[in-house]
Amino acid sequence: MTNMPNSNSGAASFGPAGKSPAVSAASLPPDLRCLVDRVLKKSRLWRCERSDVEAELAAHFADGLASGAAPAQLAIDFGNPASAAKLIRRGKLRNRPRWWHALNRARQAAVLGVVALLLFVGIHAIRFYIGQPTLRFNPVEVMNRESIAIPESSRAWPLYRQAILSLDLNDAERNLLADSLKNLPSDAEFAQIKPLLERSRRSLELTRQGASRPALGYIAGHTTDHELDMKAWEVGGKKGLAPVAHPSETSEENRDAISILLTHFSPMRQLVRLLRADSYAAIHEEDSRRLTENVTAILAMSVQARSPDAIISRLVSIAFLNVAGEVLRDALAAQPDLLSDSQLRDLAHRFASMGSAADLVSLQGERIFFDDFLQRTYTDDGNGDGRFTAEGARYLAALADPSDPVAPPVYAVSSIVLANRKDLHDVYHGALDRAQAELRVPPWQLPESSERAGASFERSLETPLARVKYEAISILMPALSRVYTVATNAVLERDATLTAIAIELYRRNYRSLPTSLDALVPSYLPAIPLDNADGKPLRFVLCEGGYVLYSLGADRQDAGGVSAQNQRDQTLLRQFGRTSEPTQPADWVLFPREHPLAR
Amino acid sequence: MKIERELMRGAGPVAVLKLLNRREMYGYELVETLAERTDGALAMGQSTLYPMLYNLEAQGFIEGYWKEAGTKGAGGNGGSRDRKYYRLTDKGKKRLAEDSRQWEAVTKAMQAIGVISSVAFAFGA
Repeated sequence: MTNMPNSNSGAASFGPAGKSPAVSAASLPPDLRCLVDRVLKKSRLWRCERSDVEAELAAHFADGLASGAAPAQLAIDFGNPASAAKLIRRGKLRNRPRWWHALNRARQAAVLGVVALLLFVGIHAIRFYIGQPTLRFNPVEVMNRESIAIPESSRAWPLYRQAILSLDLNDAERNLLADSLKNLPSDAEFAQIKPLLERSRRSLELTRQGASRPALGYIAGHTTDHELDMKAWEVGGKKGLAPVAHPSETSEENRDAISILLTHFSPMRQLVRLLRADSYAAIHEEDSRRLTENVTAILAMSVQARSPDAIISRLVSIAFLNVAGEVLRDALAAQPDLLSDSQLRDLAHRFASMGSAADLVSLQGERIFFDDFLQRTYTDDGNGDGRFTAEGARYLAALADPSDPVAPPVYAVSSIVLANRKDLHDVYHGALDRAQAELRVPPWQLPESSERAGASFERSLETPLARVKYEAISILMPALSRVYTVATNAVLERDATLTAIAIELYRRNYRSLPTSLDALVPSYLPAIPLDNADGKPLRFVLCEGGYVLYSLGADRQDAGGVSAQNQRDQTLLRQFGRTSEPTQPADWVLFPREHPLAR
Repeated sequence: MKIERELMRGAGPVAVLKLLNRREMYGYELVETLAERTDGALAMGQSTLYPMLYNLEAQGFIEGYWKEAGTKGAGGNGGSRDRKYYRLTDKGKKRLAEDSRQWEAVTKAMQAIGVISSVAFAFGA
């Protein structure tokens, strides 16, 4: 070893800032100083690391100079500054503390994660934008299939339509029929409605004729009935702009199920109200034939209203059934002897034929609506699965705000978490299957409300992610528990009507009321109807001037047949499965509707 | 003779460890010694040596420390200055022993198949 500087003297330290100053690059010849600077700059090290490297390189060159080497030669011997900087950086990085390495790995992982996420989102967005829904069926055709098969001469709807068009009632008179005549009218009220009914004879006759036809035959679509619109506009005092006629829908069009217009409900409701008013008039005038015809017509309309199949159709149908039962129970309370035995028996058979809660409700229409939603928003892989599409996003946006059907690009990202088509289909139809099965379970045998069909679906939406994932279902799912309550309550009311008929027939035969409902079985009733509250026989008490037939109501407390005196309590008592208590002890009185034990 | 880069990558660290096994040395001294003792075969640019030293340091085989050298400065302006010296750690000694065994095995193997005719590398002789 020649010209080697001495290495065996001086104090040691583990940093260049020891008690003796390290050689600074500034003390080197310019070309070497420049080289050190370049290496340091390219190394991108921490300040303390740079000063360490600077000191070491400066010492290195100082040693070289001290041994007699020329600066230019030292620079050549050193090698490429760029690759030196790179290697020095690599070596120094390995010397960094553990926390830095951990942080660095975390940073790299984060960057990798972000890149992977962006890649994933990008691919998903491309798939989202290029995906196209495929329309496999036309929901209008499916919904109208049954109605179209009915011959024109067997369709009730054309007669109902005619009945509405020939109805000569102003708004106030229509409101009178809708709001004031829910119970037997007083003499004064009767005087008020009599001329109104006289003017409506033709409409009433057409309605009864329509009710005698085998099916409704209403053809649903996306356009309104211009003639009916004009009639409503005229009756309403021609307020606002006159309705505009729209071109009728062609069979080539395939428009969505959700915007199908069911324009027949409002006219049919009006006609049922008219029949109800005429039934009360018939009671007042002791016209048993007209009363029977009207109640029969309302029951027939209840059956007709089940088509086209949709939950709303079934709810309207149930409402008509309830009206028929109320009118008949009011007739039995006010004029027990009005209807003949055969008329009562005939009506009893008609009420009984309305079936159970499961017969009253069908969820088939909702299934069609939902499947149509899926075919318009998801791709179809031919095996029932698919992914959400940009067109689907536009469809959803248009549903939310028809005036601005532009789907925001955020759908491309949020659709990542949306359930796929099969999942959505299975969850929705599964919930409907459970709800349909539940309709066969009587209210007193129902599990706790938290275990019911609707509740189990709501439970699955507890997390924010699930809410987004199944957003479409939460928007489109009908209120299943409400449908159950409406249907089972209608069955209870229908059973109360049948019991009231049976009691009246018993009274005529034995010239006295039965002391208990047991006396009616089996001659007048196959079995005593059971109370929705607890599954025990409906409650029956004799009182001055008659009897009271009642359910304990949702509170399951026997108040002795006293009816609730406010609307809130009346509503609460009908909501079986809930725990709210009425403000005063009360029951759900089914007969008589205006009864002698009322507070 | 210049050694191929890949071969140098394996031989360089062992050579440095072997030199430091004898005594502590600083960078310039290592470069010069390697060039002189191997007839330039293992001569490496400083741009290779210093990163190698940092790597060996990071692996715990050597440790560097600053020490006053007591020589004249770069400009010959007199006075003491610091140098960074490196010395072998216990871990480095174990590694050197392991590497030496492996190099002996490789050398024997090379001899056996006639790649080399005699032991060509002998440090610390």
